Amino acid sequence: MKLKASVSAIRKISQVAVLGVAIGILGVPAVYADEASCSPFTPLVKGQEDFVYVWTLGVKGLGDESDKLVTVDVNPKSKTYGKVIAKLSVGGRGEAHHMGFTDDRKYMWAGALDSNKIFIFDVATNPAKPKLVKTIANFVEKAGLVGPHTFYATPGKMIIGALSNPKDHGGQTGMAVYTNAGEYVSTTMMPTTGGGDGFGYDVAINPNKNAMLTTAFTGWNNYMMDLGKLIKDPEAMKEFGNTTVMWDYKSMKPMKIFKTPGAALEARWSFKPGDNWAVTTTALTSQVYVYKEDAKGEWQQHMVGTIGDPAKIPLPVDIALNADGNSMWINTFMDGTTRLWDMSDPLKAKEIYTKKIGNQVNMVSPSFDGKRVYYTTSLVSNWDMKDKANDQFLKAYNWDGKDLKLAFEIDFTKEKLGRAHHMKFQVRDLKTLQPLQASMEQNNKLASK
Amino acid sequence: MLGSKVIRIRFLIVLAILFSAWFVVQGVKSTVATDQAELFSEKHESSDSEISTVNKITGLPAPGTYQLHKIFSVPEYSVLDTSGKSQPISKYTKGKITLLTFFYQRCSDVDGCPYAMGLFHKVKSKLESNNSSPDSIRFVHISFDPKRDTPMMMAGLEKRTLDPHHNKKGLEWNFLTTESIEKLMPLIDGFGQNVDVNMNPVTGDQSLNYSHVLKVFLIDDEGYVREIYSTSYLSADMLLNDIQTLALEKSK
Repeated sequence: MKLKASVSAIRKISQVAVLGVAIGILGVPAVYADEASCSPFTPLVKGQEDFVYVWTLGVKGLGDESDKLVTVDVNPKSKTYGKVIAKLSVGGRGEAHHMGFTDDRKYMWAGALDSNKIFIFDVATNPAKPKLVKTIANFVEKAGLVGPHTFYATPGKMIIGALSNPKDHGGQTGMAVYTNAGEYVSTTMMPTTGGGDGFGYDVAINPNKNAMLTTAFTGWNNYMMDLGKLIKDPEAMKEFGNTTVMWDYKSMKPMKIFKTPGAALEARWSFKPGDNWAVTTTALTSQVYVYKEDAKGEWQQHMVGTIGDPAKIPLPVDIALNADGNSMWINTFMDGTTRLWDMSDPLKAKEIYTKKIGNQVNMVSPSFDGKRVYYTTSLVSNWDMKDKANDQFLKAYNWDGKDLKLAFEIDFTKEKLGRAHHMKFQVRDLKTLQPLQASMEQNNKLASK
Repeated sequence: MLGSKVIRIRFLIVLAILFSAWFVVQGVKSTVATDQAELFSEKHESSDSEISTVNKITGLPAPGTYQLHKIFSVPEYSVLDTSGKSQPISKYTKGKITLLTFFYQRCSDVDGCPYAMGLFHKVKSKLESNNSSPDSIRFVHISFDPKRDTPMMMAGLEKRTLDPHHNKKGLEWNFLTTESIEKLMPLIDGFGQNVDVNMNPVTGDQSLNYSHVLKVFLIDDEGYVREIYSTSYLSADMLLNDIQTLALEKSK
């Protein structure tokens, strides 16, 4: 009986794994969360973070079933270290996904990919207990887009990278700009000519170079579809992005479009002073791509590495460059593994460390000094693993330069919270925030011309 | 154990099939690992207006080829001019294209107020050397430190800055302050400028934490903030470009 049950369990896990592989083939939305992944216009937590906010998907039959912002105390000196200290439900399940601070870090915007709602939280008045101050419920009508995904602060404004459109709910999409007050400003569509395929996903800006890199994923039809159904639909499987775009940020016009097969997800610029390169990874083809100017000042894309064994479909999801630009964490969802890559020479990137975090792992968020690393698990509600393989947690590790050592873990299912998704750090005293100064040297040179 | 192995083999087969299927569907060759840099040079050379061609030296698009959206309208507050007279801030934010920043005279942060002051001088110099019409442009400095930066102090600074020998073309440059921190705080909050007030628990005296993030505001002649610059996004070329873009917008 026990053997039978065991075989049955393995079979179930196998089925889940196959579904997971299908996720990999179809591409997976991941998130960015760490300090070095914040907009360069946002002041940073360069010391000990006090709180980690986790944007959490509600689960039917679990707790209040609603999407919620979960606040976790992560200061080791606190009496409530490693504990949930606040929960703020937004009512209903709308496919909670990503978050982003405004450029003053006083407010945090959080999006829902299905309801298309955008929630604005006050995280400054009492950072230990965020307050919902505004809900934007007309994103589709105003911006003409569906699936508010990336929230990227620029001075006084927020760029919202979307995944889809209201016309056919496919992958043709764009970026909307809102003021910090939540007023709609403009929409820029992703290019569909000159090699562009119109897909969108992440947004990352290098102010020094007036450059903005965007990546490409898939539309609402796919990310909300039942996974089993999706993998049997060859037409749906065509609907994934195969390009990345380097933009003139100032004019919001493309400068160059690259062929980047396999759904490039997270886009990151190195924060190291003097560095002017960006990186992304592809979910479907497990490649690492670096973007750098050549001697003529023209942006070039370089494939610099392969993550794991592509034949085993490791499925790279979230990535996080450390603030010194010398290393990068890459999570692979299928094997629940985090991987540290040496990026000291970005064109000769290589893997130097791996550790299994859980059955599934999506997001990774290192602190600015790189000594603490946080992980969460959820992708989208219809694509997470099933049953026992469906780990839903926040895990905190200490990194001693050689190994990750578990500091604490919160089981989001046992705590009746939901699916743990995007993370953002905050401090109790916002006066301790520091602006990124990585670009001053460059700007001074530019200004002196 | 045997069952597990069978499942594992099946799993790998399914993996291989699905992975292959995706490549077939996408029509992607297995050589994707090569450098994929791909420039659509035809488009760069074409007149396709959607493609940006930035200046190779500044990295910026040509003035007038892009939009500066309205971010917010400058809120209505009062400030003190150099004679100590209360004035509506709109006097200094409407009617001309305005560059406005907050500062304080004692600031020694090389990446803060002195940097902005130097930058404003560069912009002024370039505007004058380019034979632009500086009388349609205005600079405004508002002090963070009303206690020390009194109207009299601001008058002295204005005189030193606008030495008639160095201001022949008459660019308007105002140095303003406020009556108190209480009057100042709503103003800087209205601009979204970060600065903090500290209170001495013994004396109850208020002072400002001057570890602020430098911001410069570009304001159109109707009083709308059209661009905000911070330390990671601020250069003389960029300011000149954007000033010219607003001027061109007005001339259309």
